[in-house]
Amino acid sequence: MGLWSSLRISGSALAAQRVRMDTIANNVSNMNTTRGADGGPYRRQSVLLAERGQEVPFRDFLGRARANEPGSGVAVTGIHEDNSAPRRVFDPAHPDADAEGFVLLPNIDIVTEMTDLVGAQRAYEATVTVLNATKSLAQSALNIGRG
Amino acid sequence: MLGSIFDTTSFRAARQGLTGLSQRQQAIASNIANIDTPGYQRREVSFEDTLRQEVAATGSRGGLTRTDPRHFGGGGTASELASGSRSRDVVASRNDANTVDVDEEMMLMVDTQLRYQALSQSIGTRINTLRSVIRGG
Repeated sequence: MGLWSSLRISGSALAAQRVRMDTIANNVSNMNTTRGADGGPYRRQSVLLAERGQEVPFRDFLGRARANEPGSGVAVTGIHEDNSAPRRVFDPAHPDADAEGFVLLPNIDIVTEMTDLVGAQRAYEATVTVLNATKSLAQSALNIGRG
Repeated sequence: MLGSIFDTTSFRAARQGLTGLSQRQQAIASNIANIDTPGYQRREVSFEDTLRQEVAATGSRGGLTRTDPRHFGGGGTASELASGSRSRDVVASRNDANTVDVDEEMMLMVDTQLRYQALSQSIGTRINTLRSVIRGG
């Protein structure tokens, strides 16, 4: 049934975009974190997206084999750490400053994060639009033969 | 008897049309879902040509037949239905080789939505006609 699959696909996209927004929020809030998990400055994280594989849910398997479905959604395959060099800022008063007075700050550029955020937000909105369209399709199918 | 009432060519064609359109909606949902997936190739569903051939074939087997070349064919005129199927050479214009274009998908979605509504309304009208026949007017 195409419409239920469409709803599932849009759901997967909403989840993926949320993960993206969470990651961006995490990056922005850790903009000045000098002590990350590995002791050094926090490293920028980014989300890896991939098309979801054609895994066949059990209930569909019972019904029919679906070899040729038009798409099956999106999945977050991992969160990638950006290994580019940290920013080096002169701040001798900082407790984490090295012998020359430089502090290593996270490799986060606020402009990149904000543009990414807008991208994720727009993608989320587009998905919601598709979701509503699918809903109206289902509604008009349900209204067949009424009244 | 009731089976043959619902088994007319136009009714079956409308049903197949609804199925095809919901498949198309699924392809659109998938394209929008993968709007930021690197390397994703957009999907599309085209069924109108096949459906038209099928309807035309049924017509020659004793359904709707064209008795005058000036009549419209039972499957609709070519230009009427062909407008639904589109093919296009997609060249990825983005760095991540993704071929989804949001504007195009949104247009296609509205198109799908309207066609779906029109089809389901026409099926509904047919059912209401049958109902009034059953009630005797």
